[in-house]
Amino acid sequence: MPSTLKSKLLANLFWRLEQNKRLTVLDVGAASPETVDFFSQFKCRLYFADLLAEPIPCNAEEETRPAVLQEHFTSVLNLPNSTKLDICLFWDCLNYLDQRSLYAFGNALRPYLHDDSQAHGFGVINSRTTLENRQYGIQNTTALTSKRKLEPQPPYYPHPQKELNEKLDCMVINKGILMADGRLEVLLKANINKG
Amino acid sequence: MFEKQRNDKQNQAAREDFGNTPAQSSAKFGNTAVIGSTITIKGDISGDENLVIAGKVNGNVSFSSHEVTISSEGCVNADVSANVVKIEGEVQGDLSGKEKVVISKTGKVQGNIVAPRVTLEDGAKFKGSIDMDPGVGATVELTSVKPSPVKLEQESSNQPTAKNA
Repeated sequence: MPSTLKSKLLANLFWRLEQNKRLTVLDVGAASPETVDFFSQFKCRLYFADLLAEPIPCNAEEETRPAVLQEHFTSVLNLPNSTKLDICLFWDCLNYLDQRSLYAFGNALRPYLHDDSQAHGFGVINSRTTLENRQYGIQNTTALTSKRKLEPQPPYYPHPQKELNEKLDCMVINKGILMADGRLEVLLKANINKG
Repeated sequence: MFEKQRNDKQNQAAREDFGNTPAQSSAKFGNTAVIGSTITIKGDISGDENLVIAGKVNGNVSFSSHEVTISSEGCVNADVSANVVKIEGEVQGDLSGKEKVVISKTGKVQGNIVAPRVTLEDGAKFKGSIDMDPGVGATVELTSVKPSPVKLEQESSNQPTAKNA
């Protein structure tokens, strides 16, 4: 049974819904029944592209690895070329990408962002923060659901705010709230002209 | 004459029994047709009744006014279009439900879904896109906040203040 996690930032993502516009949403976690239920209330296209479902390539030679990594994430995202994302749900998935992978993911994501694209996710206060192996979903505009994952936890690379800002090149943290367990709930905005 | 009668009887028996056992044969139960677990079909399937697929299908499945169920044994590499689509097995292909699409806890789907209502049960696996449109008349209460400038806040007063990057 999933537990409920209050969010002070999630509501910032949904101001467009009042304009009755069709939303395009990317969820990079495992598909969650709660998230599907939530978005089924709105006109939207919801993409699920589980970043951690497939192993990240790590056998390529050092000098070619960035291109290989970017190609991997482009393939995982599997978005139509014309897609422009309004909302990205990162959850804590970025903390399971090392710095090179995080940078490559940002480059893979950049073509699908527009000036008003936003994202929500979790970082950490510092790299010593431990992460539980959890799957997240949206319950409503102010609450998330969280449940323990059955699959083994992949190696994780907790990213403090500064590191997230530096390595996730296509977005910048707009707002952050420190949680009691050392996680940092963050709201990000597209920065597609950066880099 | 007797040869013809014998051939007719043999053809009749073949039509009535595709599989080795009643459980594995394609059959019709009430208003629902069943493609048994030992059956592999390459091609398009359409009809005007409910359909349960327990076997393998490569092609297109179109039952616009009825219900199509891919059972837990079913493995479909096809686009499926029906009034109601229920997935308990594995599908690679696009799903279109005039009324709804349901992916059960044993379901695994890779493809795109278009339906007014989509339900994912806990444990279901899905990769792809879902197009949703609740239609006219659906109203939702929103508590939304327009984006505000950069700000770092602390949730708990017992924690040290996090420094900006």
